[in-house]
Amino acid sequence: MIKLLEHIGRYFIMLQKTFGKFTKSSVLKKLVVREIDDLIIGSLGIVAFISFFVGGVVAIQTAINSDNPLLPKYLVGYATRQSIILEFAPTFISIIMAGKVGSFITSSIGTMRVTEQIDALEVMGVNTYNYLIFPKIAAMTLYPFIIVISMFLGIFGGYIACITGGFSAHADFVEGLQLDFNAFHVTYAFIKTFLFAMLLATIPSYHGYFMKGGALGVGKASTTSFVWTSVAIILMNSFVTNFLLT
Amino acid sequence: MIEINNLKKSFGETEVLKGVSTIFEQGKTNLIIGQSGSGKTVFLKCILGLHQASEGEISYNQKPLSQMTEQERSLLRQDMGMVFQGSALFDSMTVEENVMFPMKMFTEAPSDEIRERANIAINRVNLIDANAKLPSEISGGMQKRVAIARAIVMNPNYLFCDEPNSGLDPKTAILIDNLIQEITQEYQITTVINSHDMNSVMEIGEKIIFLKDGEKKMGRKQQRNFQNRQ
Repeated sequence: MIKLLEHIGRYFIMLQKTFGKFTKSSVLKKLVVREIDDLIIGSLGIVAFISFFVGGVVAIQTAINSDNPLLPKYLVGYATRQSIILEFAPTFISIIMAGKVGSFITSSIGTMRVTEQIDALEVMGVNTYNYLIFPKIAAMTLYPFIIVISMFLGIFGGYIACITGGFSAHADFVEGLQLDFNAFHVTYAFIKTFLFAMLLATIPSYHGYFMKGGALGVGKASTTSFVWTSVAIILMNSFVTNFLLT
Repeated sequence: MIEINNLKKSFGETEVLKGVSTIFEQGKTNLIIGQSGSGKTVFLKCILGLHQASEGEISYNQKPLSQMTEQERSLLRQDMGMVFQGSALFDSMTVEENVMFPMKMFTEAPSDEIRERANIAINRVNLIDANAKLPSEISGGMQKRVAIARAIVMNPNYLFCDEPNSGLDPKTAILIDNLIQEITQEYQITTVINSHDMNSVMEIGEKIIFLKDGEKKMGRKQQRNFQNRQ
């Protein structure tokens, strides 16, 4: 327990130092662009692929499990929309990103630690927290755009799966998508997406920055980072949902 | 000049440095020698401020490190160059970008001037046709040269080298040793080298301290005897 508190304390000190002495803006700008390319653009393909097919599966399973004449036909479209906007796109994709982006962040910073590149930066007088972590936080502010794409492709995948599989008619599915639309659900999804983005940028950075050992340590830190980022996302999801939707 | 007085450093229960005192003089190649685990790297990292000393004082030109403000420390760091054991080059940057990096970070000079100064440093360490290469595409000896070029590009007053010969063949090791000595004399900087290579000690050591189990075991007088024995 004391060790956990020590980690939490060190994590918050890291965040404070990240927003301390800033790196020269011309250098920082290039770093942010590189991180956007690595973390955001580089994740689009896998997010699109997973969203499209999981959206299809969600719609098919809803259709199969609601095959009852008493249930309205628009239910498939409605349930697909709700599950994708409220949970699948923000939370499920974030857990996947904890593996993809999180491992990348931990291993890249961890490798810099092992090869003394972080020490080299410190000797030069660079605020290594700001230089290494801030660009990742800045890049991850664009993370909601990934989730928008995921929402769209998830619903589109559900639509294609239902129409081509004969589980729902076009009109029924679209009626379900439009039924009882609550704009606050989208706001709620984006609030938690933004919070997850901050967790995705900072927890893996923490594990990379403070890792110990050699190459084996980098692998171990990446795994630990994935576990703790996932735990933090699930806990944050529960907290935000209780706070905003109940 | 760097003055170290009764430097102690512990990690938990383990006392790694047990009160080391010495002076590193300007324009000289100062060597710290000792076996692996003798505390050489910890000693060097304490001098650099990468490790906080448990006890004792480190002074740069008679100004104690502990009394310096954050800004003074930051300026001091820009006056230091460091060559790490594994070179510690930024692997996503080319050779030229690595050498340009400190200047890009800490000067407002136009990029043409930065490039020109970086190339002067690269030429000084005799690196030819390597500017556009990544660190992974060059040999260990060349990586050491790039690290030295990066360390001297800001014209520092202090140069620190941690095992500069490690992993190099004897011929390249001598070239690197001589390069460091030449640069020390040319720029009149205070150079501190961690080494366990006895050839380095004999070739370039102008002042030598010998560490054993975190203690200084040999001073100047013993040094002469030591050299005679060799």
